[in-house]
Amino acid sequence: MELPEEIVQQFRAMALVRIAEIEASWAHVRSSLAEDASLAIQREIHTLKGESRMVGMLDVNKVCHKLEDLVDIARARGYAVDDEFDLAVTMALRFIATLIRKPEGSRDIAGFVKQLESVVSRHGHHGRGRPSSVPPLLRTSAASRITSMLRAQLGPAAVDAFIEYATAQGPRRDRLRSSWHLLRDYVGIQRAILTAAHLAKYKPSIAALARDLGKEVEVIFEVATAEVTTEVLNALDIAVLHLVRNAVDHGIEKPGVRGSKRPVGTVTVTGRARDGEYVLEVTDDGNGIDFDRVCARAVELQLLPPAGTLDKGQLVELMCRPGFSTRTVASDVSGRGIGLDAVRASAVDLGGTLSAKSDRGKGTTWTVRLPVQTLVVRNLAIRAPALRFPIILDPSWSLLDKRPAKPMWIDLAVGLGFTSSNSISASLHWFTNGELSIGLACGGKPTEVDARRLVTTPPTCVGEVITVQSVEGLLIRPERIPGVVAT
Amino acid sequence: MTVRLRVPAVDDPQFVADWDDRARVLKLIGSADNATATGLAKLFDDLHIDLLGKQASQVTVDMRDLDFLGTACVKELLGWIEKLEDLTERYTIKLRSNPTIAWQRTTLPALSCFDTALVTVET
Repeated sequence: MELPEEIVQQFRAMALVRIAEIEASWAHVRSSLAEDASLAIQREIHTLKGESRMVGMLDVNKVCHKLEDLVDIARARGYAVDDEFDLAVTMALRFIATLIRKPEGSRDIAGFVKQLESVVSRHGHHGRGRPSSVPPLLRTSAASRITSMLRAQLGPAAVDAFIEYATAQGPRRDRLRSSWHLLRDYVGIQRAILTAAHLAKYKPSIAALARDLGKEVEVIFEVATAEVTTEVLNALDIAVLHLVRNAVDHGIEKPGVRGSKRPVGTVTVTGRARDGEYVLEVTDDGNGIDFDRVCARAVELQLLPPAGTLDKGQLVELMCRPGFSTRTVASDVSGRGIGLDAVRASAVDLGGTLSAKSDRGKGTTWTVRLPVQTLVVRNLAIRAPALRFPIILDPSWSLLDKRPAKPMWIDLAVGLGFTSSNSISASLHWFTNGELSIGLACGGKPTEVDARRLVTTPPTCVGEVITVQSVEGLLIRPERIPGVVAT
Repeated sequence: MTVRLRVPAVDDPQFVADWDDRARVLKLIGSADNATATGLAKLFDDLHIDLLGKQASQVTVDMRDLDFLGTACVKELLGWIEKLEDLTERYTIKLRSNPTIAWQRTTLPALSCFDTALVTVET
């Protein structure tokens, strides 16, 4: 069954980004042994492998599988590999990129895989799970968190850049526009609409995977449409990819051994936003997690003393550790202990969690919880003298119908560092957040509007950049404005 | 006529590129580490333009005396191949190899796998 071209194109674009990230992480880990970069390499390759299979690019899947073997060896050696090995990894990445860009070329896939196998064989790959393959302790770095940290740090700077640009005139405004747009593209919220169709895009490939494994599986998607950030969408994509594959590969039994259950196994994916988070659940009616086996494997890998015991929640935590798998031989579908780690890492990176509940013989439910930002805020919009862009007040502020006892008067333009020209006819309106009461000169009566958040900042900052009917403006937190003039 | 080329911008006594314009053979000699990559990229670019201008049908890259080629240099070689892949009127690349040199035994056959119609390896 052919996938829509749009999905294949999306995969291609994303896959090339992943390859660039793997190349950068590979260079990084070779020079610094950073654990985060090492894990990023494994996650990205594993995800690329899974996605390529799902879109039917089996050649890419095959080369990724060999590349994973190479990376396993490199990791076990603390990345102290020779030039020939380095070349093999580099060429494998470029070969995959070539297959993705131009799948129709006259490639020798079998020949290339054979070359990789010869490198694997020369460097003594004995399979996973042996004590010798337990990775050495690598230095930890915060490399994978730099992006989100940097975004958070750049938010207030981006707001300042917007104010400078929006209040500038003439050639200066043109110069500042490009700086603001650069920051906006880098720091601003990228939105996406999450639908059942989006997450169900791999359904035909999952069915094909089940067939390959000799299983009968029905996959049901019950996903509510929601507007989310692209980061959340990517994390959910990764979760569905790995959790559904795991459910089909590890959870659902073959028809002959399902006992009194329906011969056709069921995997249900549900998703909905509620109470400030997006909750995704992947439930299968398979055999459930064999916690005794997990425990025994943890002992084998020296993650647990021989007589050690852990509760189910702690064992699930262990299962999500990088490199943990109850399988001792990796197949081209799973067994490297990367999938669950990739799901958890992408969730944790967004401040979320991954957990599981399982009953032996009945099935397993994996739950991903991701905090979701409020993307639309509704509050009072005001027209401030000298400021030509929309301004709304933080939702903690409301309009008072009469002058309070001890008000402060704020000139927003002066407060934001500009000379007020009072170019519009303004009248005073009074607002409160429960603690402070202020007067603002407004052109016209404040009205409620829906504003879409564009650049978010912590509550300690003076404001955020928003859009009102596609026009960029500011959400102001009056209590944070410096230079408040009390009257 | 054989023209001895110093790889541009690289003063590297360990590595020399000889270009025989009549036979269209580029002979790479010595050891090209990653510092040589920028110069090598320029050399490949110049040759590519020259060969297209002359409507050449084949170029030979003689690596029999090339003891080592760094990862960054291999990337440049791949970049050259990728440029040709996008062309309809193109020349082919024959890699003349020395199987007694370990890196050549694995890397060069793998290079030809990128486009078997474009890159061949001669031992």
